[in-house]
Amino acid sequence: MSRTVEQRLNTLESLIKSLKATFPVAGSLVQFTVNKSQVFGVTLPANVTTTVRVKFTPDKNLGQNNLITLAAETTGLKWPCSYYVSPQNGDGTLMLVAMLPGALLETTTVELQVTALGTTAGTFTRIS
Amino acid sequence: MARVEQQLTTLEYEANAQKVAYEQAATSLPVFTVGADFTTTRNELQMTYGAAGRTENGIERVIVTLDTESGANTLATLELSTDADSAPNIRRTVYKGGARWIVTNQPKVQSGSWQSGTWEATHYHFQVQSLVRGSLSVESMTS
Repeated sequence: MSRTVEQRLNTLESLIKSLKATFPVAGSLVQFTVNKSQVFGVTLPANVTTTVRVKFTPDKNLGQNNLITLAAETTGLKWPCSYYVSPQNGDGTLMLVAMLPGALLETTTVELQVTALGTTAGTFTRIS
Repeated sequence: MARVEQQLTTLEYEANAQKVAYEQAATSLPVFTVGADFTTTRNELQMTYGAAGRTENGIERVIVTLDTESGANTLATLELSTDADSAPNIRRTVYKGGARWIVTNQPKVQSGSWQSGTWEATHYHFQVQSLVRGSLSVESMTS
């Protein structure tokens, strides 16, 4: 039996009430989270620049491109690094490429940490 | 009565559509992706040494601009791949009507050469993820 007009009106009224209650908080439901990676120990051979790739896999794999940024930092200003984020290929993951210059004539070890800022938490994996 | 039911049906559709839109908004943000390829040109610096002069390679700066269709500023991230010999420096700068970055990098020189004399183009692929739809343009900045 089809629903009566009164029943449909009641459903509609409660739906609109619930939307009214949730709309004002919709904006704040989009959460930006900051994720810090584990610390990667990187051995830098002397005289050359070492490239490190770190992959970020979101927990909520949306299977598309995401609005997530990655940033890399080394512990201590003595061994700075520069980095960029590779174009996403649409499977939800992101890749950061960091380049760390080695010292003159001396093998050194630095600690590298990656930060992700975006709409979902995730895990970090060092690729190379 | 039939008219009332028609009105009800319309209202139901609208309320349901709003519910779907709300649920999407709360769980995921729209992300628009746009990309562009770019090849740098030599940033020639005319140096003078005594009476003689010579041309050297200046630092290459590339301006990447996302112009949004609505002219609104946007939350956006810049991603890139490059065949440069060193990692570029990426800086977002102030821009009204979208987003803009300046990418700075050392020029490529032929293997075994130092600064002056030789020069090779650097290739970039830029990809921008933005909350607002827009178009991407890339240009070189010379000193």
